[in-house]
Amino acid sequence: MVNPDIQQETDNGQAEPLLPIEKTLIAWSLLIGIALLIIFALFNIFVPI
Amino acid sequence: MTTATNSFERPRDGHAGLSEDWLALGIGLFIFAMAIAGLSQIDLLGWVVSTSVWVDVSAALRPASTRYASLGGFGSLVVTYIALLAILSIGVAFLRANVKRFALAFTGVFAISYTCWILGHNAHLAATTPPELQQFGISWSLKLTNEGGYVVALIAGLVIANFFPYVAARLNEAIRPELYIKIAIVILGGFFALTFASKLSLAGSVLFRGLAAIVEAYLIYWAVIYFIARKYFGFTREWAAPLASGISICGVSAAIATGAAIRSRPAVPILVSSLVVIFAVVEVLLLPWIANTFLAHEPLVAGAWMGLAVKTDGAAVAAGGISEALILAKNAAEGVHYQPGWILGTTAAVKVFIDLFIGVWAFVLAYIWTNHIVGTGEQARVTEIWRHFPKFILGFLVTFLIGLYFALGTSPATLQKVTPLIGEANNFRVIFFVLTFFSIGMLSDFRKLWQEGFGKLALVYFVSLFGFVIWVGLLISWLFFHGMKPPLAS
Repeated sequence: MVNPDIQQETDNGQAEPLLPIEKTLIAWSLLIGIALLIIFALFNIFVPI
Repeated sequence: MTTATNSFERPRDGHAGLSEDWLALGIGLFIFAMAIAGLSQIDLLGWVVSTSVWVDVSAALRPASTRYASLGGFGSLVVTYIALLAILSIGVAFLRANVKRFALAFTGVFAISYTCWILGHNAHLAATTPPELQQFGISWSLKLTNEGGYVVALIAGLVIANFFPYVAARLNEAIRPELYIKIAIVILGGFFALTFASKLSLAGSVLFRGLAAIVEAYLIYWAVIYFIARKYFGFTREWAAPLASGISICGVSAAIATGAAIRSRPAVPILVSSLVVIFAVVEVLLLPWIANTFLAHEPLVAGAWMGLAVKTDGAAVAAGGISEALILAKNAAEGVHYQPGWILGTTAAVKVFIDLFIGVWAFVLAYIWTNHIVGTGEQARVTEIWRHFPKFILGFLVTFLIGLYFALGTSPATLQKVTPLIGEANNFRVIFFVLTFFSIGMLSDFRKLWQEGFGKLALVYFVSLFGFVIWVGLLISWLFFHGMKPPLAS
């Protein structure tokens, strides 16, 4: 059976606001990810392997 | 009641015995080595059962090699069962599981799974082209191809898990989809090498484009889903991180590695894993047919999409296999005969590339969590990269390199001998796929979605998967793989 406290736990998430380090992780991940995808896409177009 | 929880609690890191990763590597390499040993004129695996499309079931089974023709179809099925029972029972003894319970459960699992596989080969389900219908003397077919047996096995698992809990509980010890698919992936390495070696430039392109999958899964998917889970669904960090990994990377393994990395309670990734499997089943039942409808003329886009969109290795590679069967059959009906192996190969390459970085990502998260978030004084260690690395991939690389050596470094005569031998090993790969499908179905207890507390987890999974992951995966697959076609069959 599922732990009966799960609903209570998942409903109490507001008690944990996003920390600056989490925002940094999200922002840098997206930034690096999009930049790399653009580089790969350009590579794919101009230097096809 | 059977639950995903029981099966995912099995050891991964060797605390309670050998991990399933190492076991899969060992069994996969053993089967591959037995196949290659056939080069010394002794065909060690030719007895493995092989299944053909049938209208008369007595003609469905036969041994893989004509050298073992005297065994007959049923005889080769029995020998295959005994061999698998023996090797897997020895394996689970190393996992410190109950061997007797496993052996009994595996007997049931194998019997049901292989019956489904045989049923899936009935011409009314599997025949795809008008000449085939004519050949079998039938007027209609569902055109599921012979891979339709996977879907039959999946549905059988779903029905037993959801409507026959007593039977499900009896089979639970042998419901090990992660073990079965990892063994299959190790064996698959050699088969891919022979396929890819036939057109190296295209294989290079597939592998290069696979890099985009790593970026997408770890840096785009993860960040967006973690943000959505935290910001809009109010999940705590302990829930949001395994959930983001489960949805974005490769399902079960990633959720469990992330749970360990952020020092969450063990129950958290396990519960996330059970959701991963349930949604993976929905994806396997939908996406290959969508791909066949809209991407039949972009086969490699379809293959990459399965690798990016379907979570858990088993479901993804399985979805790649079904997509390949459907798309090859559709193209064949139009007179275009692509070489088999490329769509499935693309799915597996994408998945293996993503798997390679689980350890690195777990270390990154562990570093951030231990230094900036949990503050327990415990520091992340670089050794965590190795601890979370999926070891079975080493087996895949070994069989791939050996296969590549035979394809490129030996004489055409040797290659001609080794190709059917690797084909024999590939029969085991097919059997492990069937076992995986049945096991995934068995772990998909849809009642969980209605149980108290699962609603919000399921909702964030649903929103992320169907609102973002699937479509971004399709976009990236299209961007990098469109226009690439598998070679035509000679």
